[in-house]
Amino acid sequence: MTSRSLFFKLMREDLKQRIWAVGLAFLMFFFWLPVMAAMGVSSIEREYARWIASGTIFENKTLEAVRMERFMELIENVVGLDNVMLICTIVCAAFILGLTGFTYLHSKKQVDFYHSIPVRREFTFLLRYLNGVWIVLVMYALNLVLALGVFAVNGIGLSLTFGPAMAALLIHMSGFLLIYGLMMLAVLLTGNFFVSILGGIVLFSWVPLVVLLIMGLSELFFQTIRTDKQPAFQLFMIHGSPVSHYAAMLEECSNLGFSSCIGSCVKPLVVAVLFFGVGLVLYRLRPSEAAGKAMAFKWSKAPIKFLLVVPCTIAMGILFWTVYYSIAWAAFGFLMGLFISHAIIEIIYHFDFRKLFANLPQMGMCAALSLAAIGIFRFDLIGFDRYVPKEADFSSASVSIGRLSDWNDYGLPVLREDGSYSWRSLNEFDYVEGNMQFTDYALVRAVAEAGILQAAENKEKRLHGGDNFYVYYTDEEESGTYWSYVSVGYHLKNGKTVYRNYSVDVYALREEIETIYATAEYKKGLYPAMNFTDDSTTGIYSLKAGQIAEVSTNPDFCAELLSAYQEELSALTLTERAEEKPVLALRFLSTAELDYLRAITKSRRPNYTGDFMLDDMNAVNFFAVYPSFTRTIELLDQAGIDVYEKISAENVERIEICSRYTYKADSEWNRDKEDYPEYDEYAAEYTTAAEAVSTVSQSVYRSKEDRWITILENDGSAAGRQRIQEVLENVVPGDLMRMNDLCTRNYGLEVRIFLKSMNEGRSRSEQEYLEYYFDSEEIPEFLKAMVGYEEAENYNISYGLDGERD
Amino acid sequence: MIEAKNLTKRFDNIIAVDHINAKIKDGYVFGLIGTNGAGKSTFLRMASGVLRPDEGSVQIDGEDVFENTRVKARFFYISDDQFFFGNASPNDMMVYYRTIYPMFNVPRFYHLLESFGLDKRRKVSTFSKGMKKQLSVILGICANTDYIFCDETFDGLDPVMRQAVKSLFASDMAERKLTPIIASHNLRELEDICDHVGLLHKGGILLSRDLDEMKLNIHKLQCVLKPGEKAEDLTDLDIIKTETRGSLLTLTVRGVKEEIEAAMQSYEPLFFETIPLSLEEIFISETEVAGYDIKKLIF
Repeated sequence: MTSRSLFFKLMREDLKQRIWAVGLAFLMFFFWLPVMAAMGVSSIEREYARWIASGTIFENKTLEAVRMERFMELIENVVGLDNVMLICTIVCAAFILGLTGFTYLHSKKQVDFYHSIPVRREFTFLLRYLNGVWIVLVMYALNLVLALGVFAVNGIGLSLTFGPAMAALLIHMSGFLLIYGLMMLAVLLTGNFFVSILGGIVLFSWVPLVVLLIMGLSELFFQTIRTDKQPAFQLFMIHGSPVSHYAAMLEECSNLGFSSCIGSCVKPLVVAVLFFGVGLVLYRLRPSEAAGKAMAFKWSKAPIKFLLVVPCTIAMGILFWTVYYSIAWAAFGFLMGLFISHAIIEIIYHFDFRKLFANLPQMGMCAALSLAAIGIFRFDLIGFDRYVPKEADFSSASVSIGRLSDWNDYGLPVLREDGSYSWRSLNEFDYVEGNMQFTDYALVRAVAEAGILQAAENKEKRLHGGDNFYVYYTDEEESGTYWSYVSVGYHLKNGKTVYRNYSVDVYALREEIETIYATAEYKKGLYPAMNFTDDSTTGIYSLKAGQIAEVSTNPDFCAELLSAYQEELSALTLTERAEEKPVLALRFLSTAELDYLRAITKSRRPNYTGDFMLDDMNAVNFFAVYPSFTRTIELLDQAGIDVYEKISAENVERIEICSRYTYKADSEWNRDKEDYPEYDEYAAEYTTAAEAVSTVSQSVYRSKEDRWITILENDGSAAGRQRIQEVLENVVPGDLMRMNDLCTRNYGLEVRIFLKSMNEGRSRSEQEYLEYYFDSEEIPEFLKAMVGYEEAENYNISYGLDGERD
Repeated sequence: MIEAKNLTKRFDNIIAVDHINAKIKDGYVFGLIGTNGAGKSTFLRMASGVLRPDEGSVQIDGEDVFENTRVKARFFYISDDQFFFGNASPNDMMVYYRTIYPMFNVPRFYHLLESFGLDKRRKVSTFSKGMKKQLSVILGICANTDYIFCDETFDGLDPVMRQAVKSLFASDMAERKLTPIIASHNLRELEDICDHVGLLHKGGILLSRDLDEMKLNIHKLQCVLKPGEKAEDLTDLDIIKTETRGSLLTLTVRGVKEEIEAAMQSYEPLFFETIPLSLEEIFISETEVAGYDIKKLIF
């Protein structure tokens, strides 16, 4: 009886029963494909007509070229992967069809009907499954053809539209099959519509939520974990739910061609086939009497309950514990989580509120499992924090030591397939992790062991005192410590990389860290400049106080300077860094960067909404020059750059000294007149006072934010100039000071230098300044008196590795 | 022939059908009688391949029914609450069944619809319960299968329609050897149609016999015994049940009428007469013998 013709006849009959879905799908796809295409084309054509009528001219482009650009964008927005409404339609359709396609199994009446007729259950399953797919596929394809027709009629041929359309069709249908398949499984596992929806929620969110819980537990109990470097977390977060996988697939395939998309669809299609297979097995095994019950399979009840109750119990226990770090509250949360989740599931299983306390032994088992899971993390039974690879397994390591950082950002241009450029930002730590190959196992182990001991200590402090243990960073001067985090990436011989994050006292590990810093492997892994070559360097630029200047573009000179810099950077020791502040920073412009600059200059269209801003190139890839770099400094001198050159008081219009005693963020400081009327009031008052005092141009005022501002105005008087000069002699550029964490830094007073040359013709509110800070505590006495500077109360000073301490 | 061998079905901790053995011969009307929850519907759902037996099997001519489309094509199952597609008309349902049952007799379907006064284009959802039952029977009859399984099908039919359906069954039995298997708790409905009766109780089968044979083997006896004699003294009689009203005893006795009367004569009662039992009385007696006190349930 179950012949091929019968199969198709039954499919047709089933479709007749689901005609509402066919109609709804047609309408949705109709509006989001051909109608949207027609509206988009019409809009572009109207705009094009306006351009012609108004004689609009686009730089370097014809009107026709701009029109075609708009059409290409429209194609992606309608038939391509950028059609958000289409994505929503696909997701909704998958949920609805997966849910409704098999809900007849929840009705005894319908089960009796379908299972008594002489049709194999596999046939019924297959035709129901396929009809769900056909409804979407056929309606999508039909409307896609209509949309392509709309484009074709308007002169946009298949050569432009077919690729994106097919890529989108493939990706969307892959995503649909994944979501549809899992929703179908939720229906097959349950016997009631409401429970099916709950089941769907569980199936779609369980993996990501449990991964989040594990991440939370790991961060709470594993002191050395780097959650951003746990590939399993990323993997399960992205691929643990069909919806997130679909979203990832859309992102991955965006701007890719049809052929490139095929590869991305293989895995989801395999999983969709797997869902189908599992669904078929469940359908065959599913007892007809399951209709109307909560769960279709008795055997599934306990495992599903365990999988839900255990995470809920752990999450509630940990949540309450983290509020007060109290065992009593943790126990309360644990028991509440256990009881409530278990009770809810039992009530749902039995559809009977009185079954609140059913299966208490299983609740006990859930409690035991939850405790065991927490115990694994609490007592680190897997030895996560104690991990150090054996020497036999160790290949090399990347070692990022926070306090040795230049706090420098890197970046490089990336050439796209279409010939355009994007900018890839790369912070220092990413660079180290990607490039450092430090092979001295003994040194790495020494750092790791110190970190492991500290991790154990920190863990106990944290578990008994909450987050209060973090105070050690603020009182390190008193305790004689100098903390730094150390992030180690162990590159193993089996090709894997295992990351751990430690907190170590640089004082205690001074010898080992000094040795590490002195090695060429470490420097090459830390400083990209160590790997630059003559032939890839097209120019050298300097940075000081935010001012960038060209040093040289002469290839020979560049090569000589690069060589000198690399040699001296290689010889730089930790002790030297602890004593010296950078005097300049250099950027060695690569050929690729030059091409990038030329490209973006040619396009004259900085991509403000896309991948880069022109400013990115200004803020990155600078390397510090220390006073001990004598040969480098000598060459720079030859190029006309005096690294020690101080600003002359003659060039200064005024200096504003901003006291940072308050905890207000600098970004809140705004001299907008409306926000800070006091400024103008004080300025007016100052003017009067200056006239009255006449010899010293100065004013101290207090903003309404409780921030003290001291202004030293260069009014042309000798006294004023002298005081300004005294300040200038003792300040260092802020950007250079921040490049070395190991020497003494004083962020207590920010010195804003307003140069005459920079601000000529500008009103005060528009003026720009150079950011400087006082070198250590070399603050002129007159200024200390003016601002009420008291060293004892200055918490914004860092004495560095070897600085003086009380 | 349909044969249930050791047929068992459990729902969680409840045994709905407990090791039933029964044979249903072709060409006869088989009545499946039982109390509520006796397992009639479960038996029929297993016989129609809806439920998978936990133990034992249901076979039609030696072949298991479950997931056997060839065998399932030989019967039409009318459940106690038959399913019809949403918004479907009798005609739509006919089209569907015609797809599944190739021998479906379409002209007869239209003819019967007309005879029963059912509109072929009216939505089934607007039909009364009885009309839906009529439609189910018409569809089942027209499917032209060897067997038709009816679960409480006569419940909801008015007496005229009940007789009409019975006539249909009788006609098809005569013409094409249709075998109806009818489950019901309404014994009076089955009394005049069934040839063979299976009596289900608490999942087990109490008896499975020809109705005539069953009627011949159990009788009600009303008598007034000699002074000083009691029902317990009538040891030659297989008494199932005794009721006493003053000196009048009403006995339910197993055995053929002649033997019972001969035995009774030997006790020289003051008065006695045998009364034939209705199917309902036979059912009550048999269930009471099996420990089922119907009065306790009712009162």
